[in-house]
Parts: sequence; structure tokens; C-alpha cells
Amino acid sequence: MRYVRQKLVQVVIVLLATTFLSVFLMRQVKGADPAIAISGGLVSDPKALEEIRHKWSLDKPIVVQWGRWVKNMVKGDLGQSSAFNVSVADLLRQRVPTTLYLMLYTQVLSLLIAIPLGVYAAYRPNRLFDRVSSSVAFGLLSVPNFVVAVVLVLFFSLKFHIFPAQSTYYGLFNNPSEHIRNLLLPTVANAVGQVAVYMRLLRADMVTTLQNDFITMARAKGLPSSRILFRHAFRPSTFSLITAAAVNVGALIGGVVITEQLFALPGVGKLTVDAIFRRDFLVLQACVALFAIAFVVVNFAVDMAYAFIDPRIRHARALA
Amino acid sequence: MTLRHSRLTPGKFVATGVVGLALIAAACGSSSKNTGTGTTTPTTGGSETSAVTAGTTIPVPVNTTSAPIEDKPVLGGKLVVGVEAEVANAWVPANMNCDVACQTRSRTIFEPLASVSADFKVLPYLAESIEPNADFTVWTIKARPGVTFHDGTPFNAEAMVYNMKDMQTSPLVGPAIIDVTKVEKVDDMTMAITTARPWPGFPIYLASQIGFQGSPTWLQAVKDKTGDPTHAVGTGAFVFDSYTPGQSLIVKKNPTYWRKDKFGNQLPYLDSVEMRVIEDEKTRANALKAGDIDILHTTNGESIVDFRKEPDKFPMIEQAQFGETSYFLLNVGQEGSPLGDQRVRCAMNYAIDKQAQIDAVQAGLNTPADGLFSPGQEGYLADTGTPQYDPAKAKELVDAYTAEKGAAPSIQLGATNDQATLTAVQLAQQNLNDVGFKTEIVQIEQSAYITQALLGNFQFFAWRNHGGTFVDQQYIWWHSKNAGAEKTAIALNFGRVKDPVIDDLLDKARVESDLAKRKADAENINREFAKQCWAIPVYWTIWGIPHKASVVGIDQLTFPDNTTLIGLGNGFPGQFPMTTIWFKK
Repeated sequence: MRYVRQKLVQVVIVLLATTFLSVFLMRQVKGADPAIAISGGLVSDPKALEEIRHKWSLDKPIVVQWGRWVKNMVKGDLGQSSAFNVSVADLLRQRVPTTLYLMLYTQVLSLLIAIPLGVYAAYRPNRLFDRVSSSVAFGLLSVPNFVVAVVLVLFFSLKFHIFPAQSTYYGLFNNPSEHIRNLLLPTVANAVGQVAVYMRLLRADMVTTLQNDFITMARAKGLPSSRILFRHAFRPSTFSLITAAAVNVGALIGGVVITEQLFALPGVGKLTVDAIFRRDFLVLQACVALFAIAFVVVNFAVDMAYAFIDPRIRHARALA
Repeated sequence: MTLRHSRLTPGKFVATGVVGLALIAAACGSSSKNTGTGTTTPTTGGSETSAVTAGTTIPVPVNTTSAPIEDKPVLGGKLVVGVEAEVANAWVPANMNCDVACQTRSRTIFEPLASVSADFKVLPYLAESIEPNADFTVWTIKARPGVTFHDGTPFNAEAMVYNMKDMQTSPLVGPAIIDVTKVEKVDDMTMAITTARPWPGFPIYLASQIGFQGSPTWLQAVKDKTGDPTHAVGTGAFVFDSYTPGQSLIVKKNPTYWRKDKFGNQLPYLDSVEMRVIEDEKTRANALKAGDIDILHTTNGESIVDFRKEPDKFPMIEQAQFGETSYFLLNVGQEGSPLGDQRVRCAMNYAIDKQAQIDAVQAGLNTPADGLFSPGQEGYLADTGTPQYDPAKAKELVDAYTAEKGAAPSIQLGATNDQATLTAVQLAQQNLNDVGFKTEIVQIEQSAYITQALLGNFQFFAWRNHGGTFVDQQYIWWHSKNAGAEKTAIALNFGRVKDPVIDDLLDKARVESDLAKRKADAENINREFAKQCWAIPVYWTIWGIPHKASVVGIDQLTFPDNTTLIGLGNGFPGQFPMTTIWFKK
């Protein structure tokens, strides 16, 4: 419990720091008076602008502005989008599912492809499959997701008309086929790089694990290879994979920001970029906070998961 | 005349902020020699017609794009439209920063009191009649009977008065009708508008955003904070269904719409329209090619050149007349700004290579502009005297300024987040730096860009504006009355130009009913702009509206009595009505 408490304190500190930075950096943007932006550009009366500044503590030091924003956020009041004239909470409610599904599908697709490939490459190290898969993985790692996205659009949208060039979000339960059809290309564009990372990591750990005594014992007992690989060797080989998957949430957020732009997919990533250009301060702050929370919470969950996966960690923490 | 089909060059350019107010024109100008043309691919045409204003007839070239309407259009279907930008402050008519994308979308829900006919007369549309008194100082407008808003509120004098007063008090559009002094209800169906001086061209404003009619019940609820400003309620052919900011506006067929086509078929034909915001030009074009959307609008040279190659697959309507000018807007009103100095402004005109801009970012499509009046407009001149590309002359002026002030002129260059606009501004930056300017680029999203222009928070913006036919339509953009009295005031005269010569000519043109005199005034405004270098014209915009071959009826909207409308977007090119669109099987 002490460990959990320590982690929770760290989570809160990270969240406070990231939100403060987002507020601070946005105030440094040139050519943007937050009061005018918050008014939607329709208020020109200096008195009215002064009222807005007072209401949002814009006339106070940045720390006070940030404190006020955090206080309102905790109460669930994220303010109003100046660009769209709707509440920030409503905007996020509309956009979050798109990004969540995109991130989830990317992770699932990456792992579904990477795990069998990584396991097989480790099972037959330095053979043809291992070498080819290594080369392909390095190749995929070197191709940025925006290049993959353009190539996918060129072939699957413009040439074969299978998938849309401009994706739209459809609810999974409202229109499952269109949901998948619209999210598949962005998912693949994001997943390509991840597959390579996951596969290489799993392969390396698996090779080490397969040299352990308990694996030799399992082989000596005549257990089938598949059982040895997936029941005995796989679990202890997944630490690096799980860590990478968690840390990659950050990279995935970056990837989603790019692919949502390229496919005009209305998610939080696109909303963030649009908010920067629109000088939509409150939306940007909310998006940054949301991404920070997602990143920190996932990493926190992974930390907790280590204990579940490996009893040695649980015991070590208990002793500490 | 035909459009110039230019060589294909890499790159693209899209000038940016087209602001509010679709002041769609009734035309003027005398027997003009116009280089502007319009074509439709594959149905092409161009003809001469007469423009009638205040009793005088003048020849003006027009785009003719109409194919004969079919008496049995196919009913039903969903049209998916790709538009270039989101609107700020959706959807209260008096608040919308309404560019082409906004006009295209909002006109599915809202209708204006008037519209412009193919022979350039401003005729009643939602109104039943619009009549002036003898000296054009009182306009009596009768509401069309039997029309109701989507929420059941009757369309009557009260509704018209409510909307007009909203417009009058709007900081955004109010300045355009600053000469309106009184708006009053005469009887249940009649409104009277009194103006401070004779205003023969006033009805043209009723054909714009200012003439849009929103339900007073809804508008009042929005003011009372009990209504949703994004849940638009008008009288139009389509009823609001859903709006996802930055993504889409979906409208559904208005089952009780007041209009039928000339064959007696109930309008509209479509069941619904989804209008998607796809800001990136390439993604929008790809979306049409991939079949994700059915129709789009674009000013992007590369896209237009590209779609011209596939006229059977993607027929395209092009609008090259009365269009906007793509130019660099200069804010001359900031205290201490080097742009207050005529030498600096003219040096910038000399420094910027227009043809290089067109070649690099518009695939060589457009014609270099010599002024802010595009071909066909009242006031257009082939040679205005605008300084032409001459870097040596530019350097000379910059050196003189630097020697006098002790520092080189320093300018912040604004661009939207669109790559083409950024490229254009980067090219300009290179030109300017080469002759001794100090520059930096700042990028802003398009709707915020417009807001910053309204507030005067800029020095140099890539811009697109001033479509129209009458010079009076430019009054709001250039008269010093609209230049903003205070530092933070919103001003539609974005450049904060305060030129007594231009003021005087605009005032004369507003009350002038002699078309020859008005044309001379307009031409003199054009010359004064060139002399003072108030802006840097780059090229005249061409709009392309490519669509799937199955989409028909785009330009078939008529007046209620079946008089032909002026066509697509004259005075505000790039927009298209969806009331008469249907899908050919």
C-alpha cells in the first residue's frame, strides 16, 4: 500500500507539472490575447475584456491562473471553447472515443502481430525467419507513420476504393462495419512501427528465457514446443514488452495526433492541433491534461501489473 | 472567353480568410471590357447580359452553367459535402464569422430575404416584396405568407424586425448597415427600414448574411441562455440534425418546406446532407476521389488543374468572375508600425514576385492581380498603377526608410496552418528579406485568423476577399468608419485604412444612381489603392466545385417565381445551394 501511495503522489505531481507547463507555454504564444480568444473574438469593449480577464484570473500571475483552472477542472468545469462555442467537456466527450479506439486498436493489432512473430523468431534464432523478420522490423521502424499513412491512402483509398481517404468516426455499436472501415487505415499506419519494436523486444527476452534451466527441464520432460513457448517461456519474457507497451502510450499519443490530422479523423489529437492554431486555450489545456492523465495512469497501471506478473516483485515490495 | 489552362507546376497556394458577409451583388459598371470568364466543365458557357440598377441597364459578362432542369428528379439520398473550414461562433446569423464554407452550410438552414437574379436584379426571395420610397431612404419589406420556421414560429414582420435588429447591434455585421437608422414593424407582415441617406443599393445586403432569417424564438432562447446557439433554426430547405464542431454539420430534409420546383415537385430532393470540415486541400480532394464525399469546393490550383483532367468522372463548375482577390492584407493602423509608411508598403509591392507565387503554390493556374477589383467587378482596371515586381526599386525604398529611421522595417507575416498558405508566405518572406526587410512568420488557424484580423492583431496576412460586383459592397471593408475607433475594437476594415480620398469616393458611390459616375468613382478607388499601396494584390481567385458525375442540379436553384438566380456564388464564389441537388441513377 505504501508503494501505491508513493506512486499516486508521483502521478499527482506529474499531472500538476504538465498542466502548469501547458498553461505557461500557451501564455507565451504571440498574437493571442486569451481574453479575446475566450470571448470568441466578439468582445472588443475593454471593460468587457477586463471582466473576462477577472473571471478567468487572467489578470493574476500564471500560477494563480493555473490554480484556478485546476480547481475548476476538479469540479468538472473545463470552461467553454472559444472557437466552437461549446463546452470543452462536450467537445472531449465527442472526441475521446475516436482516440481511445484508435489507440486501443493500434496496441491490439501491434501485439497480435508482434507476439507470434517475436516468439517464433526466438524459437529459431539466427535462422532465415529470424533474419528476415529482423530486417523487415528495422525497415518498418525507419518508416514514419505519416509516410505509411500516405501510402495506405494511395493504394487502399484512391486506387482500390476500399477504405476512406478521409475517415469519419462511427460508433462501434451504431455502425460496426463503418466503424472498422474508417479506423482501419489510421490503425495500421500507427501500428506498423509498434509491431517492429514489440517484436524485437519480445524476441530478445524470449531468447534469454529459453536458455534458462526451467526451460531445459521442460524440454527434458518432453513437453511440446508450443506449450514450452507459450505456457513457460512467454510470461517471464514479457517484462520488456509490457514496459515498452506502457511507455509507448506516449509515442502512440504522438502518432495519433499525426494520423488523426492526416485522415481528418475527429479525435483528441486533431482537436489538440486545431486548438493550438485556433488559440483555443481552454481546449488545449484540457487536451494536454487528458493526455498526461492517460499516460500517467497507464504507466501506473503497468507498475502495478508487474507485481501481478512476477511474484518476486510483489514479495520484494512487501519486504521493503 | 475561356479560362487559361496553365502549365502544371508543383506546389499549391490557398489564400485564406474570406470573411463574413456574403454581399452578393447586383451588378454595375458600364460597358466593361472584362477579362474574367467563367466555365463549367463539361457544360461550359459564357454570355453577356444586362445589369439593371436604379433604372439603368449595363452589359456585364456572366457565368452560365445551367443545364435544363429535369422534371422528374430522383428523390432521396444523402449528399456528403467537403468544405474547407469550420466557422467561429456557429450558428447565430449575427455572430457567425461567415466565410465561404459557412455560407455554403448555413444556407441549407437559413434563407435570405433577397437574392440576385441572372439579370443582376436584387429580387425578393424569402420576402414577398422589397420596395423603396422615391428617394431610396425607406425600404418596405413584406414577409412571404405561409412560411414558418423549423420550430413552428411564424415568419412575419416581427421575425424580420427581430433579425434585422440583431444584425444592427452585431459587432461583426452591424457596421455593414451603419446607415440603417430605423427598423420598425408596419403591420403583421411588413417591416420598414429607414436609412440615413439615399441608399439605392441597400437590398443587396438583404441577399447576404444580413438578410438571413433565424427563428426569433430560438434566437431569444440563446440570449436567455436556455437555447443552444449551435442548434440552428431557420426556414430553409433543410432542418438541423446534428453538429459536431470541427467535424460535421448534418441537416435533414424539411418536410414542410415552402418551396416547390417549377414542375411542382416538393423541394428539396435530398433526404439529408452531411457537410464535413476537411481543412487540408489534398485530403479533401482525395476524399472525393476515394468516394468518401460527393462534392467539394476549392481554390487550390493543383486540385483544380487535377480535376480538369477528369471531366467525365469529376465534372467541375468553375467560378472566375466577380471573385475574390488573393492578396497580402496589410494592417496600416498599428501605432509605430512601419506599414504606416507608404514607402514601406510600396517597397513590399515591388518586392513580391506574384508570378512566382502563382507558379509555386497555385500550379500556375491564376492571373496576377493588379488591384483588389477582380475582372467583371465595377471598378476593375487592367492597369491600376500598382507597383510591379522590381526588387531593385524595393531595395531603394527600404534603404531610404532604414537610413531615416535607423532600423530596417520589421514585419510579422501571418499564415494559416494550411501548408499552401504557409508556402506563399514563406515565398513572400524570402522576397522581402532579400530587399532588406526583417520578417518573422506566425501561424494561426483560419477561424482564429479571421478573428485576429477583426481585432487588428496582425501586420501582414495572406488573405482572400472582395468578391462582388457593386463597389458599394466594398464600403464595409475600406471606409474609415469601419476601421475601428479604439485599439481593441473589431473592424471590418481589417487593414485599418483611413484614406479620405477612398472615403469620399465610397460615400459618393453609395448614393449615386448614375452608373457611369459610379463606375468612375470605383475605378478611382482602385487607382488610389495602387497609389497608396494599401495592399499587395497577388492573383484573382478561381473557385472549382468538382463533384461526382452522379450529382446533378447543383446550379438549378431559382427564385420562388422561377426567375433564374445569378448562378453559383457571384459575389461570394465557392458556395453552392443544395436545395435542388439530386443523384442521377
